[in-house]
Amino acid sequence: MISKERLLDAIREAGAKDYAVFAPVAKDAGVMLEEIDDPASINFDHVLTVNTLKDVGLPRVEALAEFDRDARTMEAIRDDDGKVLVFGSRPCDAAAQKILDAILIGEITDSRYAARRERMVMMTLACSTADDACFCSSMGYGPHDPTGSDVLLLPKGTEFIVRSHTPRGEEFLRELGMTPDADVEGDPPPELKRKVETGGLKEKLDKNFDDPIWNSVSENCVSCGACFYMCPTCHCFDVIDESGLSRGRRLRLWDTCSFAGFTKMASHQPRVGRHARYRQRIMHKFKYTVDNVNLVACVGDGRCIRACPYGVDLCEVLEALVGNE
Amino acid sequence: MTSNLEEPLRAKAAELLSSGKVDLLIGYGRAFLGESVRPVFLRQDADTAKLIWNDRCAHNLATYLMKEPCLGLVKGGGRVAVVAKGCDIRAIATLIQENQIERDRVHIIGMACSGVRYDEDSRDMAIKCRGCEVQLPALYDDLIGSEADTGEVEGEPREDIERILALDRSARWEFWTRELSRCIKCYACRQACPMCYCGECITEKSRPQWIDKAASLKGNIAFHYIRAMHLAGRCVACGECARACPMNIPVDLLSRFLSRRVEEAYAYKAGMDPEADPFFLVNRQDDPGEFIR
Repeated sequence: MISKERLLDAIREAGAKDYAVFAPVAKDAGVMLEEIDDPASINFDHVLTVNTLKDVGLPRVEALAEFDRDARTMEAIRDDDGKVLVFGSRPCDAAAQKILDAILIGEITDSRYAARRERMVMMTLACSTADDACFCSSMGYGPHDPTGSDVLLLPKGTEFIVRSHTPRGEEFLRELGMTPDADVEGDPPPELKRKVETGGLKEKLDKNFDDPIWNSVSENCVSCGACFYMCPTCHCFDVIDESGLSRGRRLRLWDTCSFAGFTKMASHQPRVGRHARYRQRIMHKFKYTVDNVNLVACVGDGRCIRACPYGVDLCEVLEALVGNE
Repeated sequence: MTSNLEEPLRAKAAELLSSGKVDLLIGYGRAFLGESVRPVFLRQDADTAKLIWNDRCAHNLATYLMKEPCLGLVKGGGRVAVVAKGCDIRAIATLIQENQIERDRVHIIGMACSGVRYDEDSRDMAIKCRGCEVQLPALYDDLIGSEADTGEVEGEPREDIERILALDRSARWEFWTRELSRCIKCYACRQACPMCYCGECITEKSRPQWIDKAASLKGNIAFHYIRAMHLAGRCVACGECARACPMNIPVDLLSRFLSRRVEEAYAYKAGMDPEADPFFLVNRQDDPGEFIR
């Protein structure tokens, strides 16, 4: 067991040992996971950060190379190679990292992402609260689930039980002189109000590509990218050059199948209409990723539900799809 | 808080749908989260029990008029009914002025409004409602409610633009740097905006690439400034862009400010008269700008 004060000291020490520390802090947009200098600024009582761990592993703007047309040169921009501590993200976000790992590291590896993951230690803070949009338990995870976490901190009263779940976690705890707790039970996890039964969903999606239900479930959607960009597992990107007359940079930017211009660089956007683009979102998460890496690309963090300005609710969409004959 | 206008609204909606006067009715229904509300699309009178009307009905449903299925329906000779507050009706009027939709293709169900709230925990009305001049709509096919249903909007008066104008240049720059640096370019503001109906937005063009596509400070400033310029004299101050923003950026400040400048210089206020020529199409002999006369 560790008190909050001692935990903050440990984070301070990690900073002194050259870890770049990312942690939840209160900002204009809400509580954001950002690089911090002072652990005293860390927020503990939020449900979930507004942003996801993509801001650490797959940033919205990433400079890949610099070029100079006149000089006919192009050089790769190297990434930082320092160690990163992600402190205080929630179990759903840690689980999302495992999904991204399965997609982006493997037969074809995104080397920049993989290198960042290699340097990243995940010290996750299990949830003591949940809101109306949380449905992680329906996706096979839970408020205290250790998936993706190197170290999991379970709240017990005002203190935390320390659990290590990977060799990296053990090594990190040793480095900071902390010891994992065995045989101690933490506070019970919060009850989730939201539950969605997804049995049979994959079989439905295997067959319902042309079903009219896609029109009705996407009717409210205005084709913005809020749910995609807020999602911890959406990972599509675009590569563009941003330059003056001669010198410039090659950038990787977030992109989404929701936009009418998506994949136009490769000829055209094959998905005409909002229903087709919304279908792609659901198919990608609940069918294609299952087909490819045997994982559902949703952790039930509920950010898409919270972010949607027009009340598109993933749980209801899934229920409608499962119940549709 | 349920309003006593809910029942008359449902009755009117049932009448419109059962008589075939409209093919589709866009209104407000209940969402799962808390007491929140979301748009609903109704096609038969049996569905009208889903309709609700209360002070959480903040969305400007006019934005759907420029999207499917409305576009196709209207093109095929159909009619769409929209449940609309005074501010939303200004957007519909602007769309009519700009020849985006014919007046008789849209059936406006005007709602007498006493302000909306974004946050269920907040007692205060949305800041967009402070000083509202259109609580009782002037343009409609049916009006639900009357003067008696337009209670006074509570809360401090809206002075957000004044607060920015009171800052010196460097403080203003600091403000916008802070706000716009966190934009992730999800384009929720643009997609929510009933006035942003371009088929392809200049910010997404890459051949040629007019502005930086990246969600960097430079690219973000370019996007939001262009959007604000395109909304000068067109923004109806419905506040949907700011409400839609998942990063909590007050993007409506820019377009509202430019529309206010247009109002001051030309006595033109967007969406108040569906018969008026759109602001950008008017060339007047007494134009205050010398270069254009």
